[in-house]
Amino acid sequence: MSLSAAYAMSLPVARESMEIEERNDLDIISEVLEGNTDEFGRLIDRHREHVFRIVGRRVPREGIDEVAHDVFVRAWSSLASYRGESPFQWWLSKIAVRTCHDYWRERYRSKETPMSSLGEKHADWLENTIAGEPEISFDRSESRMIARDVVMRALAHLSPADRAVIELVHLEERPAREAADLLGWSVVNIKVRAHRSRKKLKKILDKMEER
Amino acid sequence: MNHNERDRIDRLLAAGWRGAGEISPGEDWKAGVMATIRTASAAVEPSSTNGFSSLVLRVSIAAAAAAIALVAWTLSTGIVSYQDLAVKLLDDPASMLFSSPFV
Repeated sequence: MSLSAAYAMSLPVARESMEIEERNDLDIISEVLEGNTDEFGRLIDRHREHVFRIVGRRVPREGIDEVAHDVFVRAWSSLASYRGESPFQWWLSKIAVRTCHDYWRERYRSKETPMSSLGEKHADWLENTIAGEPEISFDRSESRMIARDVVMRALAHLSPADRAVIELVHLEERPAREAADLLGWSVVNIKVRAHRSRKKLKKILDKMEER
Repeated sequence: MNHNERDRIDRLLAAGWRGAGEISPGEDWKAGVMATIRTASAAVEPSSTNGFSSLVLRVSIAAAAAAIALVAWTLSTGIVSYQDLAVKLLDDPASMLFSSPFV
């Protein structure tokens, strides 16, 4: 039985539209595995926005292209291990999250993580936000950009593992089971680390606010 | 910072964080990925890989058959000690390996 046929049989009828989408992905994957490398470009077209969304949140702007590149190269090299048990996009998400984690692990080892303190604008934003009036001096999009800056600076003080858990569990509000699947860790590990890293982030934000 | 203030900041930080990542890559980027993949694909020689894996498979089957034959031989001759087996093997390895295990 072909990979696509096995996957199609395992899906419930209610997920018919998803089935068609996934069957198409599986057809493309079969072709790539048979040696038609160019077909992989179709998978890139279908899923690059999804991958860029994951990577774009986790990695500084200057590193996004390179990390997304690595995600697809890794996906291609381990394509034979994709069994079609979950949607291809989910499988790709795991690779993307883990590649971003590796990106930070590399920088953490070489002490390349940015540790700059908050600028005046960020301090004002924090102060206004605490007072419940973030819109006083900042419009919505500026406020959002500053919020991103603040969270990125705070995350830079965490270890890569703590960072990964904070991103998945607290910032994206994913269940521990989902975070565990994405990172390839145990649910218990995720829960314990989520609790500890939350405390660490709180301390970092408190320090930022004091400055 | 009290609990409500902390919650408010958390919500704003999460919104700011989730709002990022709306970047669409250009065709140059895709071409770069495909170039890497094509280079890697050309470097892999599927025939030699398949040949090696089938060789490993054949050797594994032969090794498994030899192990089963050896076990059968030790059971039929009543040798239970590994030392006895080693002595017999070192003493006359050729006749031990080529003699029928069922005699």
